[in-house]
Amino acid sequence: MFQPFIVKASFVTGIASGALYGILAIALVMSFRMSRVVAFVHGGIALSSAFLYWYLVANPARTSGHGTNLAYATKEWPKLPAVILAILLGAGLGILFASVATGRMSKWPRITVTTFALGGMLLFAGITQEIWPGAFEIVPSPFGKGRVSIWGANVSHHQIAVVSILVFLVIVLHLLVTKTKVGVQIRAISDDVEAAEIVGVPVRRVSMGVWCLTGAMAGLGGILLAPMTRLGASVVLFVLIRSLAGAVLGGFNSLPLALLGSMLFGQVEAHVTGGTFGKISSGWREVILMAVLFTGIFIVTRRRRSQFRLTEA
Amino acid sequence: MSKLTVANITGLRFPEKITGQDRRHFLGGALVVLVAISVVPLFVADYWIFLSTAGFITAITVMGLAIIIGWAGQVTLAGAALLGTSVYITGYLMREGLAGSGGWPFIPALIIGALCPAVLSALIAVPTARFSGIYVMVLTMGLQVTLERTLFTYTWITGGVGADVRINRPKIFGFEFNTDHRYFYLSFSVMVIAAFVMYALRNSRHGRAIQLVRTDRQAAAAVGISPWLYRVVAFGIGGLFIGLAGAMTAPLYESPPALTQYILFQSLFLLAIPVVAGTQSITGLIVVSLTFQILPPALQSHRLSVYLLGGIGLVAGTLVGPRGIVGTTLDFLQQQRDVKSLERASANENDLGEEATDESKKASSNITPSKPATESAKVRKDE
Repeated sequence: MFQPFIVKASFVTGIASGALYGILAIALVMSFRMSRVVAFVHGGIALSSAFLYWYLVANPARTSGHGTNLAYATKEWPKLPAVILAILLGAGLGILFASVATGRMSKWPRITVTTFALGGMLLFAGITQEIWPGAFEIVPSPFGKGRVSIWGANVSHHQIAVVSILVFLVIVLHLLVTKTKVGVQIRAISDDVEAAEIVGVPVRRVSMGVWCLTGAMAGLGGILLAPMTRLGASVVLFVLIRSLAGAVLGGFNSLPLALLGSMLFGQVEAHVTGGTFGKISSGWREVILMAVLFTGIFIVTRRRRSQFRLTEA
Repeated sequence: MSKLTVANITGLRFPEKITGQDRRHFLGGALVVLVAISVVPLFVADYWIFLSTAGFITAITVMGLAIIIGWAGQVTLAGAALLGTSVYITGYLMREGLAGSGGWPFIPALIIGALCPAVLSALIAVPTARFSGIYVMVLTMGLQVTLERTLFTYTWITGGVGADVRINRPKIFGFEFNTDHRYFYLSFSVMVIAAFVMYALRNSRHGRAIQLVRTDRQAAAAVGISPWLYRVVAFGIGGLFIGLAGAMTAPLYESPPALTQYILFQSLFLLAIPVVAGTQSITGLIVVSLTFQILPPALQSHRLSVYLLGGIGLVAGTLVGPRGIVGTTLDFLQQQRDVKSLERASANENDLGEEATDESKKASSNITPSKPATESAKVRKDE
């Protein structure tokens, strides 16, 4: 039953998909640290950036609606400017969302702000789908088509790049939050907005900065997830849910733990799908993953209850 | 109008029985809708009748969501999946021949179909009842995705996509609701009954207990109301309404509807309706449901997608506040009426003499809701 090559291959696949979930997960955790809100809006931002990137680089002949609609006349630009533009779009959307929400966030109950973030996601997704109605589009990777074999798993350069980018981001952001003055300000705001304001933290500027940064990360996440699956609204949402699960498993408060949570979730998924435990139907796979998520929430809330007022929303 | 006090945003009011003005609003609104509904179908094309039927059924779904969101103060993201569960299970029970279970009559199929999501919804609430709202969101989202990937993938239940599987319109006590017009009136009656049940429930002991748990858990626990139990009950009742709507949807299309109607984005779209309407006015819920159902097809030439409408609705609805757009409009009208009646009162007292006017003016400034704050602020500034 436990065939070593399947386990090894699943392990490698798990790291790649865990890294994919990780990028959105750290964006979620960063904005949660800042505003105590689950930023569902990042799903919408990732979708918008992914579709912009697709529009700029894809080959028009390979789009699903070739020739039927102007939206499918994609541009075939070089990859780098397209990536930069798509990340900028993400940052811009992050700022747009924050400029509407931050002022009000301190006064609203968390559940209302979270609903607002859901609305932002749906709105951005809706606008994107109005412009580019494509579904299941093939998106070329910014890192080319090359593949290597590691431990019996066929790994693309893209997947290796995703893992490296994620590790790099986590290290940089973790240092930013724990070691710099801005990090202290971010933590001050997350603990108590009014107290932070009183001691002279530029609350508005810092929170705008964080939303801009996390928006850019969500945009990057969108660009990176697009080539790994066929691009469509439901695909992005699917990855967002996995990321959310990863962040929850990591306790929703620390970036390295979110990375770990995403990796763990990726591992469980890869082993269940890859056949380490024998053949499991896709339905049961979801049930297992749901159980993992639920156990994670249970452990996290139990540990957290003494530390934060998280039991009351 | 935008009263940004904590009490207003969180809806921190003691859950009272609805009497007087609100009661008259409800009955008046109900009467207007009743008359409109019974006359309109005589004049419009079948397509619009079909759409309105779908709108009534959406309204029942939305009532269920309003119970969970408005009364229990929890956001559920599994609305569409619960709806789909009921649609497909009812459909499965009602279908005849190879692709079904042997053609149950409508009523028993409806009962089973409505109970399934109720049980699922209550079950998901059992562990979440102790968690914060954010984790409830994540878990209900998980339920949504799990249902999408399990139940909805079994074609022997759903009936498959585009298959020529027929679900007949129901026959109740020998009367066949086999035309769009007949089904229109049936759906409308079911919706009206659901509305009255919801209205009665809100005023009942248990309905108010659910709302007290939302406004103040400690107080609820102190008077012997179990917050945990009533949150589960709220999710169960909400699920039951959603299930009822699903069971009504199954025979509407006469064949299994597409899976895309019950994906996560659709949950968000459904969530937008009670957020826009506010959860206080049932008439408001119905009106907004109808609007949201009819607008996208009506504006198809302008390419207004369901997602976009839902997104605009959610964003606008949260910005407006917990009373929703309908509730806020009603508040505004009410305030206008109050101001007018006060003006009339002060005009009457004007005839009595100068001194009385000052008194009445003071009185009016105290009663008009938004004024006292600004008055006292002014006083403080002057000091």
